Amino acid sequence: MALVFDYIGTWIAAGLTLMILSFLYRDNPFFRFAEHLYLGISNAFIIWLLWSTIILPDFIGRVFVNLHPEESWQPNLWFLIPGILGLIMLTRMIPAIAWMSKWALAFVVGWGAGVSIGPVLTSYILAQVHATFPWANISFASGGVPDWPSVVNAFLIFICVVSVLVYFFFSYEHKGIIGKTARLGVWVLMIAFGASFGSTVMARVSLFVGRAGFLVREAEPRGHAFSILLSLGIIIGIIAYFVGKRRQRMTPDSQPPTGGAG
Amino acid sequence: MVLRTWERYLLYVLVALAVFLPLIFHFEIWPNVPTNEVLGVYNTIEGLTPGDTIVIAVDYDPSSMPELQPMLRAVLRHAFSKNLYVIGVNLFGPAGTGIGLKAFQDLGREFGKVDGDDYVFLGFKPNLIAVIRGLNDNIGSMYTVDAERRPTADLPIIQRTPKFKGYIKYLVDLAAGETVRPWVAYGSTPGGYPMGAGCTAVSFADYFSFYQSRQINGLMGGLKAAAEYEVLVKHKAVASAGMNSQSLVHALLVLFIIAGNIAFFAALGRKRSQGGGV
Repeated sequence: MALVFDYIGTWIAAGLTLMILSFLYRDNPFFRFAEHLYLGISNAFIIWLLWSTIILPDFIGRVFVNLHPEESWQPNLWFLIPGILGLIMLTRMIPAIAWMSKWALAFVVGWGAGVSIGPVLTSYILAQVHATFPWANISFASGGVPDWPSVVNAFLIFICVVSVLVYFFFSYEHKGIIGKTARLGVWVLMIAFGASFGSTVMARVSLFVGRAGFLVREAEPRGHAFSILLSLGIIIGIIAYFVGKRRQRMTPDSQPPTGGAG
Repeated sequence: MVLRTWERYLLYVLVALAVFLPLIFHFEIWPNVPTNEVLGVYNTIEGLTPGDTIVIAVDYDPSSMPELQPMLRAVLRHAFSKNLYVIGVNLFGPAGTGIGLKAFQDLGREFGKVDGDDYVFLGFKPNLIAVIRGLNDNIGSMYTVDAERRPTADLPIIQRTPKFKGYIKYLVDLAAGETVRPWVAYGSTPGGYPMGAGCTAVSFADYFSFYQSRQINGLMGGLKAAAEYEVLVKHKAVASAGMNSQSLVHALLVLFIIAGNIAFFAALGRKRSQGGGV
């Protein structure tokens, strides 16, 4: 039985993947069906997960009901405080008492600021500033001889960081040495953005590779789901194309269909 | 210069061929030589002794699965082959629990590990800062039950490792979003345990400063890093196959960019020769 469900699940997943990819041709009812189904199911799934893994065990199970009757249990009333604050947050939806939500918000902001100041200062600012200085990045070979590529790297990091900071420093006019340093900062930023863009392209292609891998490795061995559904999709596409053409001929005043990917 | 419809479709078809052909015919385009950043994670796990406990934070959801799931499977394979105990958490979003649990159970079965004794997946909790701080002090207070709703107090792995601080030997955060920073600030630094990270290729440049400052000792970025890790654990799988497609698409994109520039400058030249200006 599990194998049958596995087959059915794979065929549905392969069909929905192809429906989503059909948007590359143009917007169509198959794409919209798959899109709405995805949004609906993922939201429902997340709501169920939040209920079953957070609200039930961490609030109801700690304050009101023993979820594990085989074990001893005592209500922990301290958990009422975050529970009430959480409910108060929802008063934003009732205009007459929406002001109450500010209490919960004030608690979250106050707690967040208090907790964060120390670690943020240590980990994000001091450690990063220290790692920018050249001496933190120079490594030494045996015998105390500096590793020259690391020396070049260390100074490159320092110069690049300082030049970018100067570019965003607007208290002095960007002229003379300040202007030249800021100009270097622009180049550094461009190189950084280029590296980020290259990585982004790689990430996007990876997503497509992931779906393609699913179609080839998992869907195809289960009854040729990929080949059959793709062929079916192509046939539907060709029929839709000719039906559309025919409708266009029958109604010569109508506008040509708009859309398409991108 | 605007692409005509058929030209756009031609590009789609070429990209699709570049992706599908290596997956269907299994040919290697380019070897995935492990980089120092990936070796940082690998060498740390390799240096641990059997019986040590590590934590893998599965901080991603299905939208980042193609890049991070192969990474998770490769790291888990490495940890289980070294007989390390593994605790899994998910602080990114509830949808990550299912994919994390599946990988833990699949690899656990493959290596004959006992769920709850050799490994456990604790599941999702919101407010990651509070949870990370809590995990450093007491796992049981943060997670009364694991992802399979078993009381954590009854699980041997949690009895052996009641908290992160002082008990775990390494943390690997596989992140789709902004979870590496909180793990560094609130987990690894105050907890005193070393940390490595894996992230999507998009985030790689953002997190590199933490690697350069040695706040994390390894960084794996995207599908390429996952493929490198597969090479290191001598088990080429999904990521290695995917990187063949990835390499071919990259070569194709470079050709597109060159062809596009040639066409652009040719059109510009024609326009100028006709006196049309730019």
